[in-house]
Amino acid sequence: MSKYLAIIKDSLREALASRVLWIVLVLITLLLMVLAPLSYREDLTWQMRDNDVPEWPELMVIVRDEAESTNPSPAHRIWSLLPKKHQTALAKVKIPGVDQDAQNPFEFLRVFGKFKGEINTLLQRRDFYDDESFNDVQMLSNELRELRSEGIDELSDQEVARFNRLLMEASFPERIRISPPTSIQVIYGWSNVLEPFPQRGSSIRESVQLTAAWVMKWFVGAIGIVIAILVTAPIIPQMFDPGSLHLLLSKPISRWLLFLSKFVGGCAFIMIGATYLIGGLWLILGTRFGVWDANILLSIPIYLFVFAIYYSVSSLIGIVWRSPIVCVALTVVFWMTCFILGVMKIEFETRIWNKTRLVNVIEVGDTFLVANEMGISQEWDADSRQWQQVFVSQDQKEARPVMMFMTSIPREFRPVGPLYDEKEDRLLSATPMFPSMKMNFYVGDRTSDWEAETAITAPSGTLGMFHEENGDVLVVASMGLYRLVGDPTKKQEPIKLWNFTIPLSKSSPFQKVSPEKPVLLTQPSMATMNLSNHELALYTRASITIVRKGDDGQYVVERTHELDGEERQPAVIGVGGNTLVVGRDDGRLQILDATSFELSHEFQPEGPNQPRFINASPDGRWFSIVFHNGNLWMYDAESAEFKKARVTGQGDISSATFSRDNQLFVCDHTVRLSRYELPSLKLVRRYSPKLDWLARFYRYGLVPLYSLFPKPGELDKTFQYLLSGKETASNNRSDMAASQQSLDPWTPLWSSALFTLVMLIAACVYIEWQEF
Amino acid sequence: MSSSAAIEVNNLKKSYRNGLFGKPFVALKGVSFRVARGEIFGLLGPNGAGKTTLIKTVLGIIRRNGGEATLLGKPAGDRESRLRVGYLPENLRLSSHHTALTALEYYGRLSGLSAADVKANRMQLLESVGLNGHERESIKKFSKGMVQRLGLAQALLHDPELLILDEPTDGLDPVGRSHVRNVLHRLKNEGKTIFLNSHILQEVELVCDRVAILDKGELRALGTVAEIAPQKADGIEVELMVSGDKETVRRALGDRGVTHWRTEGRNHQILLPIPDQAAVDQCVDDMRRNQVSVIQLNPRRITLEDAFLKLLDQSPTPESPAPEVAVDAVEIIEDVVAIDEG
Repeated sequence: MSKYLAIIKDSLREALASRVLWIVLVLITLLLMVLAPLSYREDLTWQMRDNDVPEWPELMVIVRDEAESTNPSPAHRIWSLLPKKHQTALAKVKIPGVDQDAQNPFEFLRVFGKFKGEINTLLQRRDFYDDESFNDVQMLSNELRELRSEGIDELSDQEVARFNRLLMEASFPERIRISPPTSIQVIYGWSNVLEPFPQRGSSIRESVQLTAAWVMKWFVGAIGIVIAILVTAPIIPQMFDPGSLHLLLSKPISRWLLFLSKFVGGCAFIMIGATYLIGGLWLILGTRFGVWDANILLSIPIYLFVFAIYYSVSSLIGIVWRSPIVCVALTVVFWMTCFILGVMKIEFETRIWNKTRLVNVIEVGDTFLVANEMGISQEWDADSRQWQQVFVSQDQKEARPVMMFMTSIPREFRPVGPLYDEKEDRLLSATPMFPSMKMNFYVGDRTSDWEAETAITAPSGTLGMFHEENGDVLVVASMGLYRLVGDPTKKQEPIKLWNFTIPLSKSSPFQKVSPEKPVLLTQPSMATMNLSNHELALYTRASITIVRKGDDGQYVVERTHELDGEERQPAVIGVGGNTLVVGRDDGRLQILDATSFELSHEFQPEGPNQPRFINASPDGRWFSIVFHNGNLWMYDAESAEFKKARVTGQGDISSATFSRDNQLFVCDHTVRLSRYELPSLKLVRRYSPKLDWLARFYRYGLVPLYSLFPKPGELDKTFQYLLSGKETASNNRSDMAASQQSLDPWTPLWSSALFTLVMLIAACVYIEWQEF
Repeated sequence: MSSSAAIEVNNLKKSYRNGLFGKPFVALKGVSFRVARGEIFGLLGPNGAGKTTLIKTVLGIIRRNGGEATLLGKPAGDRESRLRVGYLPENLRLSSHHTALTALEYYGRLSGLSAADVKANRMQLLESVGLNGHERESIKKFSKGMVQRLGLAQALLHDPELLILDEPTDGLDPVGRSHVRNVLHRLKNEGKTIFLNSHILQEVELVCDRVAILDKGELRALGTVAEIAPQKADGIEVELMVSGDKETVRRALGDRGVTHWRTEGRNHQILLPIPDQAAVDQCVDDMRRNQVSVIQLNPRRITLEDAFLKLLDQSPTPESPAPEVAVDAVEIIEDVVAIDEG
């Protein structure tokens, strides 16, 4: 063994004698020196950033329209505190999209820039708050109430600014996004760099993990690997110089072990650089950011592994051709092939294939529809054994190309519905208009083959549609609850108020049935109906509110329950019978009594993987919980048993809903639907569509080719998984229902390991049998 | 096969093929010989004769196609026997990141020595090959001769029973060659077995106990130098340098069979076979009697080179690389003269 250690030691010695290595080490040192002054400070969040307000012009209009008003209001308060000069500018400016004669975008941009600055100046004023102006504002935020109870005079300047920011959020709940209590201010040396970004200091670890994975993929995984290939390419061919090879082969050593020792030596060569770079970054993160995450150091072996994959190819080429130039050229070609294949597969999956994944089943009389990630509804055509699109709205057709570009479709793009209105035998849906994001209300009659037609807009921020006990349709929107009472196919003139088009009219088919004190559903939020007693469960701001239809048809708040944790946390809920299941963003499932909210059980069956959908059977006994990693769990409220469902497709399940007769619909393998009996979970019927050209290309072309090649470009996912413990990566932390990208952490590892093994075995066999 | 032999090959065959579908080329056509322990054995042959192939086969670097080969009593390629062999390959190249010390450490460890053993021996070895003072110098700065001597040092480091040297003086300057020869003589005195592969005939003649001549994969001769290059049974050849009138010289020589005559002014260089010492005396008397001055008289031996060239001339195909050998031979003679004079 000591002979082979001597070969490895010699490779290290060779590395240390290499000028290239020292150049790389100097460059790494310079990089670390540049990064070393980087640090952060945690401040209270108060500044309004560009994306804190989705529609700044609308906010400008609201404030501008208060110019003439004498009634105290938050907008009026803002107006009154603006400097005279800016008031004049704001009053005069023509706002594109609002004022019809707006022609000078530059003037608007100037005023808009100034307006943002002024708002941030106002937020720092101690006199911003007055009782009169903010009297009608619902102070839902605990933080806001606490700050107010302390007294403004007692607050520090930053706390005052934070208080004012919370006031703004409470005053314009639909216009200003909720902010986390603290923000991260990046510091370089002694000066602030970049705008503070809203994030808790405690979540900096997660950001570091994401950044580390990104650095791993692009900086180390791509650039680093190419450099490493260039540096190490001559090692193996040099060994085959006859003048040195024959001497080596005459020694009492095994040829294949000689080769493997050289291979390990080449890896050790790279390990020096990688350890220095990643170890240095780890020290900076620890000392400057307080993130002492030893898992970051895992990127050293992962990087080495990625290198080993390419190096195994380079070595085999080196043995056969014995030329460093051929080694570099063919290895780079191989690297590009892996990279292109990986990108092709991931992009195809993320942008096209996964968009066709079925995520909902809607019963329509005695048949059913399915809906995919894009909200496109389809019905089963038994003749062609295909899903055929039905009830596709014009807005969906227009938004489809945009949605294709998105890795995950955010809530603002997802249609609500379709819902089958049994009374009228029609389908209903609320579909976002692109790009304005208002929602059109679509109706499709069976008689017209479910053709989607629209005449009216849906209530602003519609997030759910349900059947009431008597079959009426209830629309849950962020500003309130509405019952569909009129004819939604009849075009109506909307009300114009302060230059705003309100999607309601006196003869609107949507009758407001909100509780007296409406529940404002600011994101993250969701609504679900208990089909056993038709109570509605609403989730927003870490609070669950149960509302019930009163005798007069208006809804009343029955009870509320606060979840532990911060207000911005997302959650998914499912309610049936007297059971409430809450899926938390850390992967926990809490089983509560729906009346007393008493916690009866808590599970975390998939570790930190988040639950995506929770559905309850109409009889309230069964709950299906689909996790983002594609696993389905079932909770039986009767026996309080919680089990992974014994159905096919586990790991690739995208939806599990219940039929009215308490059967289970499970969507898996992207486009397959299976119907199971309960409680036996016996398969009743399976709808497995015939593969179209797209599916054939994916399954028989891309996937086999991709499987054959190693996946060094995807080992960052393994790294990300090792850091976070999650099998999926979320693009939208406030929306647990949005699809997440599967990390599939182990496939790149085993497939790359297998490939490397094959390459090394081939090289060992070659060196053992070839005559030199 | 006898286990007491250092190397024993019996009907050894090896052929190569250029590429998958190339025509096979036979490098060894059933070679048989035996190298006894303690002897210095020289393998001679022109370039392309199969000498290096034979060594590589014996060491197990390449596989034989037929016949048998043993190394220190073990089948060729056996790892245990390789542990007891020191090998200096032809055109040795050492990685440029080494110094003399680290190179010895590396190859010593590969030969099964511990780091401590390497450290204990390497300075003395470097001194013995004339590299003292260059121990910590980068090999990049080494001349070819220094690299070759370092190669010899690495071959000796683990005190092997058998030393296989493939063209050890190839490309060396006269001083370097002398160094190598001195080392070989010392090793011979120490009782080491040395297998020397060279196409430099005089070098082999100077140090080897026994010699084999290989040509086109076939063994042409095997034996001691005296056996391969025997002196003529009917006498010796004499080189005579005389001064005098050409006709007088001719008269004095009488009917003696002159094989070579060159005249420069009154000086004549003459080669003639003479059966014995009495005949030499008679020849000198005849010269003196005819007033011819005898400037020089040298008995001339039949060299290994002569025997080698003669053997190659007898080979089935005429294109032998003899001229190259001849040039090398001249160089060697000059070297020896230079050293002797130095």
